[in-house]
Amino acid sequence: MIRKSLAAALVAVVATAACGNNSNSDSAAQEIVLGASMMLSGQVNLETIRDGYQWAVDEANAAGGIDVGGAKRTVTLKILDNRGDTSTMVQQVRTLTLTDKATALLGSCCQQNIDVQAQADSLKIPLVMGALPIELLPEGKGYVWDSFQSLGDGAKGFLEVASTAATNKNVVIITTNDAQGESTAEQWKTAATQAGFTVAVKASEPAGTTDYANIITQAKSADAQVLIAAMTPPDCFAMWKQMKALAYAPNLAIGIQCAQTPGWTSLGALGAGTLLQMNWTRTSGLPQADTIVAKFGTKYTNDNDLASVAIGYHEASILLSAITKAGSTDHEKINSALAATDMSSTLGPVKFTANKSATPSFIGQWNADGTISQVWPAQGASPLKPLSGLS
Amino acid sequence: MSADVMVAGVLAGGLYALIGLGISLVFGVLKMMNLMHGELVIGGAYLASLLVGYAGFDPLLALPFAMLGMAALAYPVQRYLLTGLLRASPNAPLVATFGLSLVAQAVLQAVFGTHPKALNAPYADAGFTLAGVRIQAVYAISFALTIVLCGATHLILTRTRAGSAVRASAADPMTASMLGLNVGRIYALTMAGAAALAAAGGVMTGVAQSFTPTSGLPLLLTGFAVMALAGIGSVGGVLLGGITLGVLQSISTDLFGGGWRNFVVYTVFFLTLSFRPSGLFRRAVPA
Repeated sequence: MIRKSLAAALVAVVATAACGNNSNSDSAAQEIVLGASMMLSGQVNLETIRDGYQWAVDEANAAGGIDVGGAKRTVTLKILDNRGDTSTMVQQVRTLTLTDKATALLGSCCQQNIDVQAQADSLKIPLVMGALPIELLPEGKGYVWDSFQSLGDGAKGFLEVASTAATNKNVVIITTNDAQGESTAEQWKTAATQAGFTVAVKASEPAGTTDYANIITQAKSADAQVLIAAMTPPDCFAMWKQMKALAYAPNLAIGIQCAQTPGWTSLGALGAGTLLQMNWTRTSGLPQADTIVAKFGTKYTNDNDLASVAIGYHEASILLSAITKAGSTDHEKINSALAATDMSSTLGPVKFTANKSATPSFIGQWNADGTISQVWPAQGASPLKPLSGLS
Repeated sequence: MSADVMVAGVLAGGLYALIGLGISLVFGVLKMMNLMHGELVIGGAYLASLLVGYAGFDPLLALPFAMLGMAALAYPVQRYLLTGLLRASPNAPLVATFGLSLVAQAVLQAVFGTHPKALNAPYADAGFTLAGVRIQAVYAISFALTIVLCGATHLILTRTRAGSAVRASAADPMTASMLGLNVGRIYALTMAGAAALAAAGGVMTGVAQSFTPTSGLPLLLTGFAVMALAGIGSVGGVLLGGITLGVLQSISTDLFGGGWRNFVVYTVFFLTLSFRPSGLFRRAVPA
């Protein structure tokens, strides 16, 4: 009798547990999980991009979720902080994919996106990223989609601006000596030569360099009046101070990557007049530009930060749209839907070719008051001002 | 190689020496590798940034306050945490200081964010020409400051009773303790002194370059390289070690390009450790 009672109780417990599990499974099956392993602490904090992701997801959930095969399903955003550590990122991407059963992934930033790409490709999970110029996305296995600005377009924009300025067209190009830096240097060198400029000095330095005296001396000797620097922000800070101290005053300077940080304002007057390549400006006329300013303008006062919010929203919108279009959470179907993407979001139109879609580029200029003005293209642009910080 | 580049290397070496002096002092006295030294340097820069940003201080005026502030923070850490660990196991402080460096980074990120900061001053981007050589004012000031602080450290260690106590504690802590010296307090004062020197390096780094909460690691490596070149316990050697490092960087960049700079510098670092572990300048000015 006792045995029968125990057996019945055991069956009841197991059945209850099983029902509970089924219920959870159903709940889980209803939910769309978007995962991202990104840098939220350490040298880089991508909270602006994360806010963009969250904005898109909140917007979708406020509408009752996204339509997947005729049913509304809510979206959960699961973001893990990898502190910029590659092995942590690898582990997190595997966890998001295999344990959390993420439907698809969103990107991190910059060089780390290249590392994330390899993981997504190996796990065959769709990944939508921005914050990596499209030329820098390596050829992968087709699961990674990059919608961002093109280095080539940025170079073209800067050189158009430079052509209108009074310079002798002698250029110094200095980049970091990693893959991204070398690739950027080659792109800009080719573009500058084609535009009729002469690359008088080309140098690459390891990130973390603080002494640029030798390059500055070469640039002065070559009378290079146009400076193109693609470096990390701290390196540019050191070089800008050293340029001024060593009396090297180019007529025009662009800080690719390095001037694209709100921290540039720490340079004070020295940073005024420096140009930067941007993927978004408040005067760009891009979709929802005014909404971004209204919604995040208090939290992030600088256009660089707002541009990153736009990146996050843009990426998440592309992915959510593709999931709806696929009508399924199947990775292959979502990937096929991404290939057929034809939409417009906060960074502009999206249509992938070979997994890349170039968004518009803008050239901005730092003002003495710490704001940025768009100087190219003409629509929404202010007149170019002198490079007062280094003069 | 132009004189401009060589002089820039020499003057940058002064800043390296300032960063390395605190590491050398702690290792020489406490026999402890302080892996949070980089954060002490950066902490000094952030403390100064508060005074510069909110009180309108010039960075050089903020410098002594930053030194005092970092010394006040470092003293209790050594007195009530690290010395106890050091007595328990010579390796324990290594792990503890590494952990403290991570904690410090997290706190700095939480308080100041991750965007790079710089300390603005009229001399931050000023320069002057001397005998046809263009000189960056901030590095000239750093160099002068390093000489003053190296000299002061040397005099304190060799000409004062406190310095004698420090040297006695360094040579034989047990005997020093038996003779009535409070070795725990001396260790804490030494760490506080090293933190003050680190803060001075941080302020000048903030003026000459920039800093973020994670800038400490490369500065720690710079400090180690200076210490290896200088040898332990040689204040004058630290100055020469810093200058050697700066000049090496300039020469290697000029000859081989920036990509080989770290290779050349750290090859010399390892060769020194292998063939002259006491340092290149150990006999220069014994502390």
